[in-house]
Amino acid sequence: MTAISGTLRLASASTRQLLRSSEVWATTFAFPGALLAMLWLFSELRFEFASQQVALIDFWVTGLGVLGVALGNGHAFLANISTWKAGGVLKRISLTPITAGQLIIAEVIPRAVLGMITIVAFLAVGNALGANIRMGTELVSVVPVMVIVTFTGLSVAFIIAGITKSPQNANAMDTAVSWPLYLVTGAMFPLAAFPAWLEQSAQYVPYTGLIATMRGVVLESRPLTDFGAELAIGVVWMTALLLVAGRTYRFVK
Amino acid sequence: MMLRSRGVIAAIITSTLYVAFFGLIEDLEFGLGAESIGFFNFVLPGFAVFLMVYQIQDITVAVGASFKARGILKRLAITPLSPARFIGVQTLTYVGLGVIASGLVLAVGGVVGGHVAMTTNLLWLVPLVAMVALTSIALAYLIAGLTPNPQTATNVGSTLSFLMFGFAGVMFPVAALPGLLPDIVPYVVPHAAVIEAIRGIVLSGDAITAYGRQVLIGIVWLAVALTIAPRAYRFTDDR
Amino acid sequence: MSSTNEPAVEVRDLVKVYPRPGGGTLRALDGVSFRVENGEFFGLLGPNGAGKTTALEIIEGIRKPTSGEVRVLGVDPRKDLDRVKRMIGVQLQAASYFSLLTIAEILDLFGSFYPTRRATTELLETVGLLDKADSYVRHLSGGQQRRFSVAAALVNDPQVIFLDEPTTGLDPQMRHSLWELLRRLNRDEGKTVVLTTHYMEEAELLADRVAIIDLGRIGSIDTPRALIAGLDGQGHIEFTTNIAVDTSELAALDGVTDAAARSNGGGSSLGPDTYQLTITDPSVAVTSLLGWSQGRGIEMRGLEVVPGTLEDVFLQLTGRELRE
Repeated sequence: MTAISGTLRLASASTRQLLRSSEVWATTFAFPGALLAMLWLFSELRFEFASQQVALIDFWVTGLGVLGVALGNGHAFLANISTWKAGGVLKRISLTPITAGQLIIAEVIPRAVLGMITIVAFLAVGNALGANIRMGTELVSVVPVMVIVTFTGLSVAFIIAGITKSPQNANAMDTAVSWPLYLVTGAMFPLAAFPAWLEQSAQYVPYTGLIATMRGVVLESRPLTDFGAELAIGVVWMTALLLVAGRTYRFVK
Repeated sequence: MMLRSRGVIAAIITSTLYVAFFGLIEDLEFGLGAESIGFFNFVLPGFAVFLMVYQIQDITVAVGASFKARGILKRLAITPLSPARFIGVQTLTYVGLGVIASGLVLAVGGVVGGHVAMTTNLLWLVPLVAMVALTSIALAYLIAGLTPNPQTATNVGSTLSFLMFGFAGVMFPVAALPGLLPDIVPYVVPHAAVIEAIRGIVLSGDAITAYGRQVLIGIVWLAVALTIAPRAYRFTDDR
Repeated sequence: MSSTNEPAVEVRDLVKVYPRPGGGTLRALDGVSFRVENGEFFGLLGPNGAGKTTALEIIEGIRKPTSGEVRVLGVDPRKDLDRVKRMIGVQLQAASYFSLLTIAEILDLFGSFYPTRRATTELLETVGLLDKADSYVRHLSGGQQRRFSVAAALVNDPQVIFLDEPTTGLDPQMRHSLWELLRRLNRDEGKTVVLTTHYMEEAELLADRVAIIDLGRIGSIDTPRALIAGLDGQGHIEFTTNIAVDTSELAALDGVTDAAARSNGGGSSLGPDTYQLTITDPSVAVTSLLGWSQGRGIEMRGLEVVPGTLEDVFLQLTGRELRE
């Protein structure tokens, strides 16, 4: 019982810190809000590729909605946990009966919930600003996708915090890892516009399949079962990264 | 100091890599009404300027704010060095690097299939890119000077970079904005006017004289930024 | 629960070796042995780099020894770390806490990690921070932050408390205030306290027994009084004079083993120099000095017999000064 109650108390404390964090408010509201405003202003623009046309706002709301939540959430989280490691918070916690696993779970739960709320809000506001987002039962299908996305993003943050020596190094590595993802996952630019070899190999990059799933569900009302392979790849990545995170993010050397 | 900075070297490398990556795009256009605009050719000139400049800006914001927070500025205040001279010396190297990096990006872009009109007018890119870089650096010092701590400085700097990315004609055609915005944006968004000029020179081989208004707007932005920055980025709080 | 006959802490032949960056090894601990009895206030006194923190962290279980044995209340931290964690409280030399939780919330949170805990208000009252319950740690002064760290170390009502240089960087008033708190914890609440410090006065005032540690080795363990009494020299005599004096004359006096002069700077009302004599027997040395000053017609001012200190003990044992 102590382990469960300890984890729950930790999760409650994490939630409180989340709500008091200006960094979180910036990544959850300020930046997504600015992005949506920009997309609304460019709502006349569309992408034309491979005999298709997609409104820029539709394409980026879905793509950046997924990736923004994953990477934005992960980035704010990384700033937190790498500071804990460098600042001695982890060392202090290591002297209590709390395990690394409990701390990870307690931190991840409120962030996962925040991620869900963020993506739904992002899609809803995008829809209100003119994106053709289906907001009915499609939102139910969005939940498992975002669970995978959020846990993947947070796992990467744990790994980076675990292998870097300072918050500055962690930030630099996070940037180096994140930026290519915006390009090769189809979040910002349609993979169909790239050479076939890139389009095919990009399917195995984290988030690519999840972004495609999100687009299929909320733009075309397709069922999740149409995206079995994409979801499977996403689950494999999430699981592998979670396992590595558990080994990498140590309380003390 | 700056030449030893891994951030600067990384900025140059990543800029060229991004453009090389975009060069892989085979079939993407912007659709606007009945018009179609080739994506890579559109973004190449903007990226040539923006990719390096925004990173220089971010680095300057971070370093400038950090110097302020760590008391290095206070230490300099006891020396005969003036803020203007301090900023000026730091800036020259970055401007040079910005120009070189932009040239590199354009060259790589041309190699991977982008259209670059090879005329002597391309030489005008040197002062134009220098102007953009100098303005960005001055704005970075302005931000570092006015914000209370490095974290806030970074956030404001990122906001400015985002503004440039979205509305300066780097990523999207300004003409796609609604209402009067396409007419207003070149005046109020840093670098928007100069990027318009650069695009015309790179894609169409236009002469600089075709962009007198845009260049003038760029000069005004530069003058304002250079005037305000040393006042904002002070060595001490004693005003 | 351990037997009451077990010592609170037992350390035997503890060795910790680190690889050096350029090659070779560093022996941070080189066969350290000591035991701390239940209810004792035990001090580990040594300069920076002596191995105090390393020893403490191995005992606390957050660092592994290269060899040697450790027992805390009869339990080996390597075999049952969880049990040890429940029984001890730790105040780290440099620790941080969650920056967006108030100190009351942090204590509540930490308390929830243990099967038994002390109430947050009681803890805050004990350390004198009840009125700061809703403050963030970063809004506390240095001394208040240290007291909060002690409160966090007490959250599980531990039997043994480990404190790593708890008063470093604090001004004298804050230091004395913290000493008072630590004394109360030991004497009124019966806690076993193990404290590391490089402040001689701290060890002398607080500790029942002190272990002198330097370069990873224990030089001596005993009560402060016994350690000082074991000094070859029994302390110093300090005084100033109206004129400069040849120190070799002073060193030749009965009961005096060494003499040194320290300049007071030009224009001091104390006279040109302050003289410090290392003495073996205060009464012999004072008699001899008075006789000398009368015979030479030299006026002595501010004559003071300074008893030996742990700093002298450290110097005698290691040949180095405690404060570098």
